[in-house]
Amino acid sequence: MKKILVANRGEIAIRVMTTAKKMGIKTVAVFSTVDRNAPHVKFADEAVCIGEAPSNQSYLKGDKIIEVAKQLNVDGIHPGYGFLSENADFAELCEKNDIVFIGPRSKAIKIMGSKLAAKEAVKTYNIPMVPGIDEAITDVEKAKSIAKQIGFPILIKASAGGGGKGMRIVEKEKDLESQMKRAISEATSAFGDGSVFIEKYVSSPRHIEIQVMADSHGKILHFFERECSIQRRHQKVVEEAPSSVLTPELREEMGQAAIKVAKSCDYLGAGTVEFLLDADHNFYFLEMNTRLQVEHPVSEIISGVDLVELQIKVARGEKLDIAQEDLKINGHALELRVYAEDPLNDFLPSVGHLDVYQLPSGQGIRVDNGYEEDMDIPIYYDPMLSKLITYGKTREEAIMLMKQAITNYKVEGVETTLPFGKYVCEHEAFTSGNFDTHFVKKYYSPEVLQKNTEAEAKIAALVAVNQYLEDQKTLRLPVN
Amino acid sequence: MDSKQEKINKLKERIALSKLGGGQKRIDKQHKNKKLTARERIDYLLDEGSFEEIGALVTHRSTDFGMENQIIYGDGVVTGYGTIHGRLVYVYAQDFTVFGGSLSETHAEKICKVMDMAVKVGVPIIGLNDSGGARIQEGVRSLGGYADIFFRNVQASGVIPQISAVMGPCAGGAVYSPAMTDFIIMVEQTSYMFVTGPNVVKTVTNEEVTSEELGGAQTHATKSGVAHKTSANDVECLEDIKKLIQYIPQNNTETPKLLDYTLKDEVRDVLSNIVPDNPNKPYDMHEVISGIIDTDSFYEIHKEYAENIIVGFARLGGRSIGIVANQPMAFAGVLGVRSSKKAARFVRFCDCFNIPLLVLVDVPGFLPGTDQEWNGIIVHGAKLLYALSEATVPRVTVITRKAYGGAYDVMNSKHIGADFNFAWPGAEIAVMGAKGASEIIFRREIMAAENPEEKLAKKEAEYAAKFANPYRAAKRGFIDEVILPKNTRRKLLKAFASLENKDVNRPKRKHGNIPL
Amino acid sequence: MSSHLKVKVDDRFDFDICKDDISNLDITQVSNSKYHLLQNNKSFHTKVVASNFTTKEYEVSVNNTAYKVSVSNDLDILVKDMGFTLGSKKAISSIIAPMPRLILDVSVVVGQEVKENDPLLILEAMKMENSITSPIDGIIKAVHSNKGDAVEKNQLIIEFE
Repeated sequence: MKKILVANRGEIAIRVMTTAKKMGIKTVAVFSTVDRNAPHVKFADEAVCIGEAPSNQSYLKGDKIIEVAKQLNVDGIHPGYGFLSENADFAELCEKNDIVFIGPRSKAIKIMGSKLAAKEAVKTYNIPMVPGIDEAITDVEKAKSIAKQIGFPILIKASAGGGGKGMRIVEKEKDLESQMKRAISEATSAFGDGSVFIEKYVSSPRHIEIQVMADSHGKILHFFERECSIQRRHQKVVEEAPSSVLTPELREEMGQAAIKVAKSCDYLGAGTVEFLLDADHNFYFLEMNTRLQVEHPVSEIISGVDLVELQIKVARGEKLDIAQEDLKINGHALELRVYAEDPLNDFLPSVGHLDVYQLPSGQGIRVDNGYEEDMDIPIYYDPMLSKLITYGKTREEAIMLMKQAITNYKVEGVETTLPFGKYVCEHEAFTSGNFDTHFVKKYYSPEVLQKNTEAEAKIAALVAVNQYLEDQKTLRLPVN
Repeated sequence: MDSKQEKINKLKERIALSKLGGGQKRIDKQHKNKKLTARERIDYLLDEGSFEEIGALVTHRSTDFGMENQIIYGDGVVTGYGTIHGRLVYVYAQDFTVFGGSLSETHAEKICKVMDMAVKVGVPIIGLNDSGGARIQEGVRSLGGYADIFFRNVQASGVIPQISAVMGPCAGGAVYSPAMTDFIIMVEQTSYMFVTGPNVVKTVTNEEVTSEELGGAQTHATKSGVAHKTSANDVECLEDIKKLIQYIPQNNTETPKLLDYTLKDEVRDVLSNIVPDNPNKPYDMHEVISGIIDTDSFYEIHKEYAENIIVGFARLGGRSIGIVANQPMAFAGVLGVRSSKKAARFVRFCDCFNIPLLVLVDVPGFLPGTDQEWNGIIVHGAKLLYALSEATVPRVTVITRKAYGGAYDVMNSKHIGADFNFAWPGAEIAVMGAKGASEIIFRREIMAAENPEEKLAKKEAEYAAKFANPYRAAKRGFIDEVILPKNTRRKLLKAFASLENKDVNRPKRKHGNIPL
Repeated sequence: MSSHLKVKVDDRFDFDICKDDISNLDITQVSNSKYHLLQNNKSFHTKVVASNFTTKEYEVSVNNTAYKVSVSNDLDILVKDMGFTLGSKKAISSIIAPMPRLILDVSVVVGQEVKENDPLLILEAMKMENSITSPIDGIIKAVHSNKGDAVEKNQLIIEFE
């Protein structure tokens, strides 16, 4: 594989190209008109403009990307995450055009892309799943009987959905009918498909996911877990590896389960199997993400591998020459997603200009960055500026480094999730490891952040006034 | 015998009293009338902490009419020095809370002292006027006080810049001091200036008129031209002064400070599309000015008076210049009595203080009519001609369209000593417009023609083709260069830079006899 | 010298600070622009990053976060209370002819609402056509002349409400 096209932008494009360069592989970047000056364009060996700013006119145009790839004699396409990474049709298109799609085969994407198909596939491997029914239903009576079976509280989840839409928690039986009806109507209007799953609602759940990698010679490895319970609006903001609650036995159990899930769909390449962990440390399979994920760096750091490098090797048909027994956890890694969002304003995107943008650096600090100072944040794409990753010998060290790194990360011109990250790192529930996916709901409100800022602002005011009074005393001579 | 501490306390008491002026009640009244006090005005005007007060403990010496029982420190005027944007200035602010700001012998002495100091060190003097007039109890002593000030205004005239703000009443004899200063800025609604007030006017001429109508800010800005600028309130007035100061030097031996400016290509395409093709269509000369000067650097003087000519300060590449420009949108840009006076005084101010002049010309001539002739357009028009001819500062002219007749001569032509004369391709330099000229020159032909109108039109077109352009003048070197409008700024930047060390002398004499 | 100051931080927070607050501060100077504060026993590392005494604007970093601070003294507060703002507009209520002119066209009617710079009428004078635009936002109260009329000096042409 001599040349790779990265069908993506921002930090992940740079991350993938960095490894490609390391491996001596030439890189091609694609960009929309509004991304002409973006760092990922300047980083690549070759770059082609593929359309206008809106994603569906540029980064989602699979056929255009294939056209460019063919023109430039590209051997492989890395889709990054988001955009076309889990688009089975695109994977097929690559296969048809004799270009290696650096990821799973289209069949695996299709299977794991549907909750129904996914559950069917893993059933044969006895992977524990959240108690519930295997089929999506719309009948309220049936829902009632199922709910009685699995016991309350239950969760109603839209079959075709995600992102929290069509999801409802039902605590008591008497609420079931009305909640069911509302969930179905929500799902119908959002996704055009009103069928829902009923499953047990796991209280105090922790979101634990396992990184897996499969080659074309039948070998599947796991690279330990990631804890991703700090989420807001069902989107991850802080991730870490390893989790602070997993025992080595549980880790091995979950790791093996993840490998089986990958096997069940004849997987190839990098993937992530997501589980829910309840208070009693029972784990349940949620879904598999058939792509390289945003938070992959924390796994890389503790296991000492370059996942993108492995992806490329696997795509080239090589064997994975690592043994599972040889993989060991080294230290602790923490990641904060730095979004251009205002944590004081419900995390709404903070669009603007990066007047100041200076990254922290030093021992134990890694920034997977996609922006530069003086850039405008385009409104068309995901507002993630970078991933701030710290690693230390212990979890405490990683947290301390994260706090320092956040302080030294200078951004002016837009609001970011950095102050939120600092808040998390200073919160007792997080530092003690005693948290679940309800962390943000329980402990965070903009007022809390505001209060901290206000205290500092008052100090700033006092120091300024102090300076002012000092300046008043200084004699100033008139100049003629 | 007082101890040291007691002595210090006594001083502190006096200082505290002096700061109160006429007392808190009167201060509150001043505020209620939407006016700041004298001290507040000075605080706002000058850089923070820079004010050094002089004569805070001066009191009057009057013993008539029981005045000896009313002693107020400062005697109604706050005087001293400070800095504006770091530049030293002397300032006096009349305190309306003390005897209505009225002028006494000692009040005048304080003002004279700072005027003398300003001349001694060569810095501007700024007067914030807010006074009921002469302190009647002092009789002729207060008249004498006024005269002392007037005399000094004249000695300082053209030596240091003198700026007057009228921020309250200014009536009777008091008006002559501001009148002889370089610029008067009046605050709207709360200030007025007149020699005789409405009461006396009523008794003598039977006219009923309010103070505001007779001598308010609007009146003086539009009717009389006494006020060079008006401001909506005290604060805007003080900001206006701070802005004005930046364009002028400290005294007549210096040039204004050059601001930093990074040069680029300085081509201004916007200038190409301002003058319409139809010579009878007007355009706003302000647009031409904006197109030439540094962004947002125009400080207009006399904006609402004699609108057919525009005068004001501006920056060209950071350099402070004075601009005189005909305004085709008002009265077709002709010169008249008021516009000539307005421009002439401005030119002379710039000449006093080494500020180079840019003259933009689009003038069809002088305004005809009995109103003009009987009001002496002859003499007043001559003022502008005189002022420009007399000025030894760098003078550059750009003719944008018309330059007819005597007005061509007057508007800084080469013959009266302009340094550079540019013309745009659409310039028409001629004795008069094509129509008028043709009517005269070809009168016989036209009268004899079958269709006189058609003949006139034909002759007019011929005349226009031959004379309504800049080339006959360019041929003789009356115009140095015919330039493209978009390059005007480039040409002017270079022109003024090259003229920086211009040094011209006039024959020695006490002073000329400009037709006043 | 005012002892009572209003301070605005980052355009978001307002504080009232008096001289006593400062004299009671536990603050030590660490270096030229760095100060260490102890407040409620909490430690704050501060640095005066930028200061402009004339405009009373300062930039202070507290524990490495930068804040923009604007200080207002008694005079600033007084000016604000008195409602003195910069850039106020004048009220104009009528358009009069400054000299004898011929009205070529009138483009507004009584009761019409106009915005600043909307065209009102076209006058001819000195062989020049002048378009007169509205100096204010307002409503036309009266139009005293018509197309084709010649107006005298100072004759009232248009009145605003």
